[in-house]
Amino acid sequence: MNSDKLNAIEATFLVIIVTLAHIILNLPNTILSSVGSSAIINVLYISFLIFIFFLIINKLFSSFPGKDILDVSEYVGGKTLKIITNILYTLSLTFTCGILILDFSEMLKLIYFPDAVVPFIVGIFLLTAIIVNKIGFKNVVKVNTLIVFVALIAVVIVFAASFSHVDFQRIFPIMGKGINETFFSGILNIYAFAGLIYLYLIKPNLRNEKDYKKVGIASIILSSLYLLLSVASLLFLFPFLTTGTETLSVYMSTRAIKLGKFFERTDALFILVWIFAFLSYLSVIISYLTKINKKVWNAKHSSPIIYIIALLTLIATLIPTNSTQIRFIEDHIYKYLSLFVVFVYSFLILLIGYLKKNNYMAKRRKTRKSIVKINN
Amino acid sequence: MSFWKNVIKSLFEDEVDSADSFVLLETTQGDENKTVPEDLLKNKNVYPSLDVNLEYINARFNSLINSDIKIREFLIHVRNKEYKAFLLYIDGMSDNDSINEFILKPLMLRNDANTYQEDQVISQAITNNISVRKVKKFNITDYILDSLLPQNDVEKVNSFDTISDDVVSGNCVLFVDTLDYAFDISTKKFETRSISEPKNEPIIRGSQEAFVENLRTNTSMIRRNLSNENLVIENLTVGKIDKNKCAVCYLKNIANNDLVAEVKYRINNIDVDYCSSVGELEQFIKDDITSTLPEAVSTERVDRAVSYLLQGRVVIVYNGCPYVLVVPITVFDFLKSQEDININHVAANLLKIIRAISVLLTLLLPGFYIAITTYHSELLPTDLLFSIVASRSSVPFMIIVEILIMEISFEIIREAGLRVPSNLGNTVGIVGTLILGQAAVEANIVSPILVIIVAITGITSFSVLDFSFSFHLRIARFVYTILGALSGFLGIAVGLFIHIAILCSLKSFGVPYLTPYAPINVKSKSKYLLKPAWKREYRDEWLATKRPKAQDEISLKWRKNKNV
Repeated sequence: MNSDKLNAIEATFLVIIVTLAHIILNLPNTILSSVGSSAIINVLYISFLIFIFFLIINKLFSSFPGKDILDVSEYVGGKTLKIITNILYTLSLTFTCGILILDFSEMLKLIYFPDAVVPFIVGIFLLTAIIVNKIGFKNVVKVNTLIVFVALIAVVIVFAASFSHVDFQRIFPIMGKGINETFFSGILNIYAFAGLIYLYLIKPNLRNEKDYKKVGIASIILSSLYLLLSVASLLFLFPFLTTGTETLSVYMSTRAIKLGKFFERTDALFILVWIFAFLSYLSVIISYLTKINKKVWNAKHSSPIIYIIALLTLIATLIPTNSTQIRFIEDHIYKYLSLFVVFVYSFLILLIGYLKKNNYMAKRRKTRKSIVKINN
Repeated sequence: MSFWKNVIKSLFEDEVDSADSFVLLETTQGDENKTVPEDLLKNKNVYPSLDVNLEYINARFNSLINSDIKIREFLIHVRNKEYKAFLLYIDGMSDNDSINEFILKPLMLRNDANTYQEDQVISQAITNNISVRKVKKFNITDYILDSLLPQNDVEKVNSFDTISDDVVSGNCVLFVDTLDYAFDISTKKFETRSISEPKNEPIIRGSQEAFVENLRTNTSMIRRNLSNENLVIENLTVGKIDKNKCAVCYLKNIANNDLVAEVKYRINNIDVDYCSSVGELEQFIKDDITSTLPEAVSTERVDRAVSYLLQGRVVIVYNGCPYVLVVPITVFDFLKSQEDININHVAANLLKIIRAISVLLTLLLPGFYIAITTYHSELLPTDLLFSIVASRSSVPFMIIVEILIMEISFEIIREAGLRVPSNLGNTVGIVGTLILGQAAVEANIVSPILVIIVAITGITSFSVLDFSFSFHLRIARFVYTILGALSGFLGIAVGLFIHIAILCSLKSFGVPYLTPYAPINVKSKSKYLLKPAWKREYRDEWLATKRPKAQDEISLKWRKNKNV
């Protein structure tokens, strides 16, 4: 038995952790800012679209049993395209991961460690991820499964505990900033499901390949549900005009929670859970990038690759020099980069691969028929 | 130089753990009786042929590997005729003197009873110096019963099931060639010193019997509590100079073959001069040799060891040690008490939840205290915060120094209390905790709230049942305290994250340490909380036993029958 193989729940939670990390940061806030009070409708709409998109991916992948996007790239464009895809994935993931960690570290500094320097906090995150990755890929996945479970419960608690402050009137106007923003320009909010990038990579790691569809659908449903809860708790708690502030969206919701007279400020406990979620997110990104790079470069040991990936992430955290740049990168560069990698580049590779394979199979069938004819 | 070489190697190379190669896989079901020929098993009664009986007994009792199953083959003299026979008994459960003096001696040695006498001869003819005697007919069974077995309690039995039940309860059974029944002789005598109550694992309801230092006494106690011929007790030797014996016990029809083979393989491949105790033996056979976490449950309770055997685990008894090891285990086994199965499942689950909370408090309370008071004070209500600040105002130390002073003092008092003679132990505890603690508070060396924190931590640590596991928690507590002081919840989260990852990486004889939660198995029947006694239908699936079911679907048949 290969110990690196994942069961359906582990694989689902790998996809969810990416969405969860974004939910904890500013994803609900960004969606609210872009579409206004129609955020709930927008989330439902993009969830439906992503569901359709996944069904198409699943269909395209059905021609490549046991293969991931790197194998498909190799099939389409040889080793060169495989390396290009790998580099693109590595750079985009380390870049977005670095920015996210930087953003989260900035928030931690702002809230709890005013005297600390941000690179120090980033360093703690990276060091932890390196240590955990050294323990092994499968252990990262196991820890992630436990932590995602706790984090998901925390999101539900946030929603439930702040329910008494909810004002459902805030859903109006129902179409928010307008139909165009909700359904046309709002379609770009589909980047919220950038965690689907794992669905391009996860197939060879599944213990049972038939679980692939199950994993995809479950992860989309759960991600949608939690995105919906986060957006709803933010929308119903605060007038959407105030949500432009640059703090953790879910953290804002936790500030509203009061558990009796004794616990009036429980946000620190939720921060503890969010730290877990970010550590898990960072570890998962590094472990998966290590895994694919080890495969592409045919490396004997994982450790040097772990260090290189961690170094690249650290470099990414050094790019922005202030919070405005971080916000810009998160809201724009990350958005379009994710859209390009997940929804354009990978999809095109898969589509071309599918067509090429179909063409090849058709030719083969034709040749066989002609051989049979000649023999007859 | 080699140190730096190793450091660089460990930094850049992946660790290859040989223990990783053993994973407890699904068992090959239905092979529990493979050693017994099928045609033999069909017949449940004693055969007239002694050789066939012997073969059957060897197979049924696994006597070739079972160290305490004794088969003594010999010749019986009955009126000058010799019959082949053998005696079956369990060493440690039968009285050796009684067997020697009153069974083997009368049967084997020539005496008045087993040689023929002149008055038994009906006629005699002598031709060519060959004398032919016609003697009175006699019944060999009656003869053995009446004349050769001077025992108070002897029965004729012909069912192997009855024989098996009686042998495992301490009787010895005599098989004689040509007879299709055997003699069941009462020779029960259990080797014991005065068996004492468990000192470190006391329970209210349930057996009050603990293991002793003698290996054979311990195995006989297990046999007495688990009357089944499938219980195999294999003797192995550990150490080259001090060849100490240890016994590997398992139920042949339940335990996974690979697991048993792995346990024996590891014990057989310990290349040391001596191994002084079961604790040392555990360190020699654990999967992760660098971890401070125990990978075997150590128990002094006979009933606990037996219930583990019935689950399909392997028990290792070591000569000279009143504790036995149980493998494989998960971390949740350290939170189980034998009391749990003796009481209602609701009460048991309450206790289990309390134990889990205790573990968390033991591990994290000082770390959380320091993190909250230093970095996250908004979590505390204002009044409480004021009182903490006021109580600390006259303490001259930093909070981390204060907490370390208290923790280390507590550990010293605990260690001193354990090491001094038992009569003085209580005094040390009283002097240490009450008098010194109060004096320290009055002298403004520590704050009263910290005394409460350390006391709660200390008390909760006592609810952890396993001694070795409690050590791990004590070590980790210091780490969390320092991490909490360095960076509050961030530090604690980092520590916990790495800690959980380490726990996830551990295995006990191929079983992941956090099973069934990591790797997650939602279909697992063995969750942390207990089901009602009548609903514990399955054995832990991660043990990959040969008999996954422990109960019928409807175990309370009497209820069903009544309703019908």
